[in-house]
Amino acid sequence: MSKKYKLKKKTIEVTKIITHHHPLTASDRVTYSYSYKKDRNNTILEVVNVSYEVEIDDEWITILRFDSTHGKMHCHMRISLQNPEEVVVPGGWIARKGTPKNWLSWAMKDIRKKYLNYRKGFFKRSGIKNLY
Amino acid sequence: MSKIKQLEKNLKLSGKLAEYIATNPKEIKNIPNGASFVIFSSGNEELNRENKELLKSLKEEGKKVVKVTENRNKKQPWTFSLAI
Repeated sequence: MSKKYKLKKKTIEVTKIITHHHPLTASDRVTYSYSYKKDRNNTILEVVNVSYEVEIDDEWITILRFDSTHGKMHCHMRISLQNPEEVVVPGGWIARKGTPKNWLSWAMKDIRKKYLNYRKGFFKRSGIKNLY
Repeated sequence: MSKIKQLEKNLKLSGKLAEYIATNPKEIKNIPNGASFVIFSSGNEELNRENKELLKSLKEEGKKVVKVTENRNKKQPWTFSLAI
């Protein structure tokens, strides 16, 4: 007696993480990473990270970054040049709803609106006098 | 152009580009991972001059650089080309 086995077709979701940099000046840039599903539309699944970075002494330092771990958008802020620890920005700054595309737009808009404050604040906390 | 002005203008264009990429990820499927996008505006020559310098310095550092040009065409608002 022969048994017939039916092979179930399994759909394997292949995801890929992509990182891009947007240089803004020789010493400022926005970096963002996202994961996408390798399907026909390359659908974006998650915004892994959107960060505002500045170059100080030949090293790129992330002043501020947004990520969407656990399905929510969070904002992390570096304490100072001397202290690499990050503070998770609380309360009203966290966008709770939306799609990865919304989060990406939201994070970019936030950086665009407040980058000078972020830069000033970080430089002040780090004891750097000249903004540029 | 001051650095702050350049940064502001580039941030504005970056936001537009990021939104476009988020909506049309297929458009950049051939762009290498870790690439830097340098944006060229459709109407700001001064910014383009500054960004040309930026592109040059990134290439000298050995980075993978993609030149992104803003078009006036609504259906195809950006053109991507690998800067070699």
